[in-house]
Amino acid sequence: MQADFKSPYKKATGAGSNRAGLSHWVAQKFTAVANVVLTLFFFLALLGGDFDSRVSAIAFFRHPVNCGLTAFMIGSVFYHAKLGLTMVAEDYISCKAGLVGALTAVNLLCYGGAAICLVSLISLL
Amino acid sequence: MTIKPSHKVNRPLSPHLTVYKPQISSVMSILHRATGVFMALSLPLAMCFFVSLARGRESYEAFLSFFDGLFGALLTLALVVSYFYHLANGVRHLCWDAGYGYDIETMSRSGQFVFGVAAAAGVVFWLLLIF
Repeated sequence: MQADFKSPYKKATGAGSNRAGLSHWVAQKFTAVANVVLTLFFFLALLGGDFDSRVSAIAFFRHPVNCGLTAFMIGSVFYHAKLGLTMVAEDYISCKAGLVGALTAVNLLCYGGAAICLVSLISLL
Repeated sequence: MTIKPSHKVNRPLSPHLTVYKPQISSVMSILHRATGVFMALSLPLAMCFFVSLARGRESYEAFLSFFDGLFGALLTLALVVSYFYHLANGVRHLCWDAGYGYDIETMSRSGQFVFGVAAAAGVVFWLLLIF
């Protein structure tokens, strides 16, 4: 009896990247470059500004350029973290159920976290 | 005679982590991952920053006071050093992606440079932050 019913073509497409494997690697590189610029901008602003006071912190984020760059940074950082954590989980977790659980947690942390940060930021305006 | 599949042959195992001599390449690679995971798992702190800022003065001050103690200061130091390590080593990775710095000598030197940047920038930034 035939052990599996996949055609050779289906088997081959299940084994490799099928032209989609590069996209997350490229995304990791682009978010990395964005993170270099945006996090340095953000942390230097953090050092230079008065963030002990909520009023002046809010004044910083009300400036459209600061707000826009911060929003961009939130998206870029959380997406980069999502890609990195996914890669680490896929490399080290061999148990299928554990991997599914870890990837679920990664997605909740990164997409949920980005959403909460962005909505909080927008609510300051 | 039957031929065993290769995974059932009792072959000697390749050197394991416990007996493997640490090299700058492998140590820096795993540190890149470790600092990345550490910072990613600290992202809830960034969420607390934005949420407390949005919620009001009291919650924002409560968030800031979390960093007042020794634990907060040490966590900040660990995060800042991790940040500069991951940043510098990430740029090193981008250089490799662009095709530069592959020979052993350059790899080793750029690695030492990354350690230097992480330690120096990390400590300076941390001191500026906490004072």
